[in-house]
Amino acid sequence: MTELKATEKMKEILTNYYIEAKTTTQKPIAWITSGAPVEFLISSGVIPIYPENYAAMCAANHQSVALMEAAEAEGFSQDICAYARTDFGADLTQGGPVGGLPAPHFLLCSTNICKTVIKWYEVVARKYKVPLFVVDTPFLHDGLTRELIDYTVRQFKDLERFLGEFLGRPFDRDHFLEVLSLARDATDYWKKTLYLAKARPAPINSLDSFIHLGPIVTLRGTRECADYYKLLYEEINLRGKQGIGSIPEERYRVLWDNLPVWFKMRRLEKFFEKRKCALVVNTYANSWGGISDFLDPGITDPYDLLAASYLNVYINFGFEERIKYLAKLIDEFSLTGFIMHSNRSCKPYSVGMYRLQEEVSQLTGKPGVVIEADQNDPRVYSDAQVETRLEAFIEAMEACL
Amino acid sequence: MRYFAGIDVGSLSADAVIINEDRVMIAYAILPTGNNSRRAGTDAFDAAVARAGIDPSQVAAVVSTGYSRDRVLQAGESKTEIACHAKGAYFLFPDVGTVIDIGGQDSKAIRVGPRGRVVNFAMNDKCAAGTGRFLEVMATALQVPLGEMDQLAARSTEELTISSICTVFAESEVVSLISRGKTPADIAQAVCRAIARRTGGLVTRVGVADRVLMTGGVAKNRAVVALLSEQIGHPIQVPEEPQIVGALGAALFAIEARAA
Amino acid sequence: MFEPFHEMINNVSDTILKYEREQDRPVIGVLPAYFPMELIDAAGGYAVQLWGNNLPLAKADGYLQSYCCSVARSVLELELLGIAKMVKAYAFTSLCDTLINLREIYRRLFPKPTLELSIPITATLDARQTYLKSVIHKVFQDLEAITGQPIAPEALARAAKVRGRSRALQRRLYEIRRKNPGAIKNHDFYAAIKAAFFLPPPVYNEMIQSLVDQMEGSPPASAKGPRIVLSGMVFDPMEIHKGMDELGVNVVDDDFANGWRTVSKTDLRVGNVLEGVTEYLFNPAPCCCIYHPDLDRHPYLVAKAKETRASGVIFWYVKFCEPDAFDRPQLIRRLKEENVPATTIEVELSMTNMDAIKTRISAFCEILED
Repeated sequence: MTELKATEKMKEILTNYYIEAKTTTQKPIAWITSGAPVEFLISSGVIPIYPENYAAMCAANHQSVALMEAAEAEGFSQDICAYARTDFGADLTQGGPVGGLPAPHFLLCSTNICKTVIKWYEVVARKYKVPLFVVDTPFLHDGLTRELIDYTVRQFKDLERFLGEFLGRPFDRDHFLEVLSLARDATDYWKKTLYLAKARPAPINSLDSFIHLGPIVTLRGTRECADYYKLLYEEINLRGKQGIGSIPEERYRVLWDNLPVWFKMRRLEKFFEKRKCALVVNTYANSWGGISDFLDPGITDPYDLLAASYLNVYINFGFEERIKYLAKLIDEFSLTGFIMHSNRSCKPYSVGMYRLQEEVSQLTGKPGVVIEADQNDPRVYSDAQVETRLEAFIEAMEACL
Repeated sequence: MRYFAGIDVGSLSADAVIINEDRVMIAYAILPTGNNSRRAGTDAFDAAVARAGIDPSQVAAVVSTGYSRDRVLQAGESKTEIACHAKGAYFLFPDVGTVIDIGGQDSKAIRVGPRGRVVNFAMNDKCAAGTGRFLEVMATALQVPLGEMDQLAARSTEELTISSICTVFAESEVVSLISRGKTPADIAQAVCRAIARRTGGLVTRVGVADRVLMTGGVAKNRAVVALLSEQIGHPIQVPEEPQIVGALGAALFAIEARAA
Repeated sequence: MFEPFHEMINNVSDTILKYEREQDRPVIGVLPAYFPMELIDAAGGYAVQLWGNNLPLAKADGYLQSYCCSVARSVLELELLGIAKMVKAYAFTSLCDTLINLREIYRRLFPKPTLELSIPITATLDARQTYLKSVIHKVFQDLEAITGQPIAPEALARAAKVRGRSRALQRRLYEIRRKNPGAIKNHDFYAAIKAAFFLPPPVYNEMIQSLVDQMEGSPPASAKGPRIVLSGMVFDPMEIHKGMDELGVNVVDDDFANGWRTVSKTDLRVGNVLEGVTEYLFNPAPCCCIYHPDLDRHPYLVAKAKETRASGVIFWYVKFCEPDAFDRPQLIRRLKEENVPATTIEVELSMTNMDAIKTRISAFCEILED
């Protein structure tokens, strides 16, 4: 990873966040999905906890296998999402880097990242006997519609009612709008930071973005988060101006699609660096650039805008849009090729990938490759298999140069 | 004196056990199944009868078990390997609580209750990593006779990990370790640990209850037994001839079938 | 008695072609689950339900990873091989991530129109109702565009009656089985249910009416094996039922998405289409794929096991069905607390070797017999 001064600040923010979550006796804790509208919780003084984020940390720390085994011993199939298995295991054993997540008072689940996450939250709700609030964001087969926005906004309003009842005080809309504004600032800076990678050489790469997305996912809407991304942006921007690349030599510039392989970050980093291949853009980190940042001149109401931004995440829209989006990124970031991670744990992201790869290659003329792996489970990963494919992909890019 | 037989025809071996009406084991035979399970069942039965020094007509009843149990000519009845391993284990150790059987192409954990009845069981029959076949493939990759894998593993000094669930992936992991200069001893140990890990999960699902017994061919691998014992946090006992426990259980069922 | 049903399900393509000609209706393939066939009938379509098949999978692998369920893969295989060439369009619901994305794959690959009934799972009632109204409106439009026939209220009422009758007759067959397990072989039972997927309802109704009339009043059959409830998404592969018949297993009831979860749905109410479709989608049986805060699978399955005096439950898990897999551990634990033993068999629709499955079922029965 690129050595950045901002990293220390990020670690501090996240450490304090986890400490507060684990020690608080005042604030309620809610477990929430990575695509849920956390701004409602932030403005209500609820601490959001992200089991997905925790699972990723466990895998990055090489702790996920033991946790998944604990879940599997309870009867959870190896066919279910590895994040869920990691978290069920962490919950059962109170394991992982912070020794288990603090118990939730309620759960907030949005289906924009997948329609499977609701199953995960049902399991947790049953175990902890706590309320589960669902924000159902149906798949956009044909883009945003008035009906879908209305559907989502009505649920947001109901969420406000739920929070008011649960916390015993009315939902403060004014404060909420302030929080939205801070969320927008943070995502603006995050997106600008990511887009600095358009420069040649790219001053930041995807592996960095996977590390630095912690706060935008978990603390979006706080002042700390907004300040942090301004800080990060300024540092990367300076590097960009000085022409400092994220890797010593950049011969190939590629896109990474899908979640990272959390347990192989270091090995893949070395692999790519050795071959002068910079992962300059990825669809995963970009997703949090869209949330709260969505702009459409036809939509002015803040709730409508919010609904639209939560509906319109990459894995919730149809293939026509995805193909266009990928082609646009390939063009904007001057890419030589693209990598698609067929991630066993994430069906909405991976199902259809073979076709998408084919169409994007045809449309852009750039080579693409699909690698079979998983976001969290090293037991279904083969270095030899993956690296052979990546080598062949690099050869293909070389032939096109 | 009447005799009873149990025939266990699995994917790798065909085993037969002869017991007498007083439940004393008289003889047994273990033969490779090869490519003809029907023949193998017959051959194992004939060999056991011969060793027992009796005439086949003295065998009052035969029960078959194992993967090919429905294709055993001599058997009047068949019972699953789960029931037979539980029965055989209970006979040998009346205080058995959990039986772990790692066979040629599947592994099972069986929770045994009062009178040797099966209370619960869990099986792995989808992926080979963690079965006898896996051990065979790895032994070939390391160019070591199967029966010597545990002695080799005992000489290990460095802890390596083979994490793949899939035998094919695991084999490529082994190839990679070999090319990185890792010693066969360390790799053998890692293979045994991988089996222990895979099986350990199965055992936890049915529950570890004293006494824990291990049956099946892989039980002869002392490294796997030791690592599995560590994995589940409980001592594991291995009967003198672990491979015939299923056939023994089948023979005991044969007595009951005749008595019924 | 069951021959006509077996005959039919072993000759699906020919059957569909025959009725397509006779009725002159466009064939609309319906993906799982809970798409109200009545809407297709009323629009003048010939609905054919695609719950997967036992084709060996080859072409589908080019589009769907091996970690997708065999229901999706085998249905795609049909289209890729040209076997589904008589299907003019496909109707989906938003049942799961795989099927949602499958629809997108179809839109890239095939010129055939597709439509989706998006099932809202919010607990915010006013939001659900408003959204579902717009969904139904769109579904009506999409169907009309395919058949060229707008859905008239009278046609819908007729369709509701005929389909309602199919399910009522199927419920009678279920009741016969509950009262007299052993009277109907498992393989026969599910052939009788499966035939409904491919036949025009009036044709099916005649067949099953005749069957039920003959079967009602059957002498009590000796039910020597254990009484079992089956639970899962689809009751295929059919071979397993043959195996269970050989073992003497008495299935007393089921909780299959393409079995009781659909069969138990009462007539579609058409006075108020929104209310009718809402009731249809969410009642009466809970499904792992459709979240509804008031529908809890735990008491439902426990009650089912108790009411049928089942000795045990077999979870019939189609590999890679995540919604099904997430529910199972807690369900099994709950059943255990209620002294209902449970086990799981793992299936893929293309499997040909049932030995391991038979061993598991056999071992489970051995436990129950003790």
